[in-house]
Amino acid sequence: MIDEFISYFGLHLDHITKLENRFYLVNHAQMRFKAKKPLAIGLFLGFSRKKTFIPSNSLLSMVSNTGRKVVVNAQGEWLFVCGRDVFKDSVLKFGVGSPGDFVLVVNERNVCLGYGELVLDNRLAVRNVYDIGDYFRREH
Amino acid sequence: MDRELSTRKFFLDRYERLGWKFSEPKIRECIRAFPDAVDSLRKRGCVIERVPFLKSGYWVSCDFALGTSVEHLAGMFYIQEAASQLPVIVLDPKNNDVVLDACASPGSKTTQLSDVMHGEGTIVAFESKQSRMFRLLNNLDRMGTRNVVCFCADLRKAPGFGFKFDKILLDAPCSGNFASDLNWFKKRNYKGILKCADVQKQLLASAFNLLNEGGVLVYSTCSLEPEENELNVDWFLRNYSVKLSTTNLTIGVQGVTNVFGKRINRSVSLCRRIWPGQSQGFFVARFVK
Repeated sequence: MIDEFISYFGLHLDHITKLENRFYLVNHAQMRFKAKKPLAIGLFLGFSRKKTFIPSNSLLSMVSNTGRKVVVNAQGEWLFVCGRDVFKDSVLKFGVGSPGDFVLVVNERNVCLGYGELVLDNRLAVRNVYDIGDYFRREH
Repeated sequence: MDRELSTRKFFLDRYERLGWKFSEPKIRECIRAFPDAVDSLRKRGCVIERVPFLKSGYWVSCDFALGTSVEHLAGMFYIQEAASQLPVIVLDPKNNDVVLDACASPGSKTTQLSDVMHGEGTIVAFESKQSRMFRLLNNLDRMGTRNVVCFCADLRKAPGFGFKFDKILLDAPCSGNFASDLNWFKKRNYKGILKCADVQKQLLASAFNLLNEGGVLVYSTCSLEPEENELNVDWFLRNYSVKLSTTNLTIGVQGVTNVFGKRINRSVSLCRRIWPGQSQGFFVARFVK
């Protein structure tokens, strides 16, 4: 699941470790602690929730140089991190991609807000799959 | 007779005897941030002022809830009280250190350690309460730490952990202080202070066993009570092979060496006590084994 995500955005990572449903990038020095059954180890890459892979901030940041992204304005940014979809009139710039493709959603400062499915119908541009507002919703 | 009293007056009288006269604290909201986050928040209309005694600490005033901002969700800054950023500065971990954060949740100091170490070395984070683990993991994830290994573990039950550390941060559970908790005077009493102090002694003893020879242990609390601070430090000095070293902090005052008529080890003056003002109260001590 994570392999599909990272290769989709043109990334390759070695030394991925899975702890239950969570994925981590681990270095050699950290591996010696693995036998002690930690709850987290190294750089968090994301987790699987039902049948979807949810990437971490770090992984989103790693893939953010991809051309597969849309840039949204301030209103689009706010709505997206509240779990909403991206409407066409919130999009400042489209990158590469066709309807059905997955794209990153970034703001004008290239901060990655999450990712979604490119739709491009009359009103909608991107259907929200995951947004960073999830951190806030998880805690509350 | 003092021990039977646990009112606001009781505690404020104690503070006055320790050298501080009460004045209403005016706590300012503070973040620990990278420069790009500061720029981003300024563009959104926030008024940001660097905290003079912190390298990456900023006081912030804005008309929206910082915690819901995109910059916060993306891990570009951490909302962390100014005094709370001091223990990691005092510990001063280096990039290749193996560090233990003994009471880690919710992760403000764990993530700060990771930043200061530039993501290198290893930080082992212990948190004893399962209910607090979720928040710790969420913050580690949000901030993108890459050098933290996290365990649900009680420091007091970890002698068989099998590893020793170059540096240990023991930001111990404590009774807190009235500046950060409006109901503090109603909730706390002297008996509770002593119970906290006992737990802290147990934690200090356990931390000693996990520290390498020549290693550094920073003990900190956000309590103003000498039983949890200077008297515990004095106890540790008397019972374990450690000595105090300077914190190199200029904020706050020296640790108190005459506690209500009881004279304790003079080196306790190397500790640092921060009375509430623009930040909450705090206490920091730096030991070398």
